[in-house]
Amino acid sequence: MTIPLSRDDTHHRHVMRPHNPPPPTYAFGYKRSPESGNAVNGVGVAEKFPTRHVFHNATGEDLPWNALDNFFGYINPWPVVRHMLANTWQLRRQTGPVTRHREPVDDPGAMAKKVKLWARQLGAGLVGITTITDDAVYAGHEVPFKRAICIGIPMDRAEMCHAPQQRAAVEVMRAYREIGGIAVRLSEKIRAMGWPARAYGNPNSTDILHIPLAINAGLGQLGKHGSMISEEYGSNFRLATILTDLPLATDESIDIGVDDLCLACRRCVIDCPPGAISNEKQLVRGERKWYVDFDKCIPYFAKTFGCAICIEVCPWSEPGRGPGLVKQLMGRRKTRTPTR
Amino acid sequence: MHTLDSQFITFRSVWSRLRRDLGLLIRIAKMTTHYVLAGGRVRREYRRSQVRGDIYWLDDDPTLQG
Repeated sequence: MTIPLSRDDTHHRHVMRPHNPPPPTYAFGYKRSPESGNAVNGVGVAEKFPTRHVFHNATGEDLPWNALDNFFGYINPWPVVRHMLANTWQLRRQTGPVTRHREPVDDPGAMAKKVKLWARQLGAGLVGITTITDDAVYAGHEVPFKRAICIGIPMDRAEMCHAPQQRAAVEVMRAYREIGGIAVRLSEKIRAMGWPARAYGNPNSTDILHIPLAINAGLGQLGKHGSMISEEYGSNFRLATILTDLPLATDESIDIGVDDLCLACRRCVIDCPPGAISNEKQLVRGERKWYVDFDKCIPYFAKTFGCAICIEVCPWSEPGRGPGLVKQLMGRRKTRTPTR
Repeated sequence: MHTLDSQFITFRSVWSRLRRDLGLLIRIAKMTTHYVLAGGRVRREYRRSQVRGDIYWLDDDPTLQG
């Protein structure tokens, strides 16, 4: 298997550069431009308000970018669609009967440890627990649960280094299928204990936003490319969530130095063909954060079956590099902070 | 082509679960048929536009609406 690498020295053997990415020109378009995704997302808006669906549509709602979403679904190659259909089939078990006898939970800390162990035994590489906040629920949707168990699995780096080609798209959907299965099985284990639980797979989650929950659950931080960065896998991973009422001790969000890196690094900004990534944080629904220009990103995303260049060129996504980066970034912070 | 990930009804009996599975199987069969037939047409039109250097107008195609 050939991995498109720009450098052949062994020290940098995992550095990924996009291999002949197509130009950001399109043989498709809108005669009447849909409502800007940036406006829907609340860019430049100081007030907080709930997130609205814009693109991936699982509910049949009339979304502004439906036509491109449908087009994206149709032009995807069959190996991608096959994984998506299999994922849809397995997610029929996202909810189900709850055992009548409820197992009492006296120690939420011990129960959290047990659930995390189950998640890892089922194949999750990352797992964290948080309470559900309003900013993680889509406008007009309700979730009758208190806690979220967030899980992540790494993608096959060798396949993802083919981004933005079809092979990377197949790997993304394979990962979604795998993590969807883990989420379903974990939710079934919780329901077997007599506690309600609902698994949410991706990418078409109807009610919740996985990233804010996963950040609060301590899985990582938001990077300037709009995706999460975890210490272990960088951005080369996918998320799923299980919502439940099972009493569980929650985790804290973490600071692994992502902002320090992103403020200094321009890799994803340079390598993004449509120029959708900004060097500055932006005001989005009352909060300054990293934001990717939706209107520039999504046409290229559709043209290239999901792109994924930004998450793979991120230095943090180089296998095994994360822990060293955290040490380095935290060390720099200490030297910058004057001691008294 | 929409996917779906919400089955909010709690299926308690074997019969109701069988009905759920059958309903979902029919829906997946419809999605597959759409991908092959309507999708095939969309992919052909899009390829033609790419070759001719034209624009395939998304809002002109009723298949892509809704």
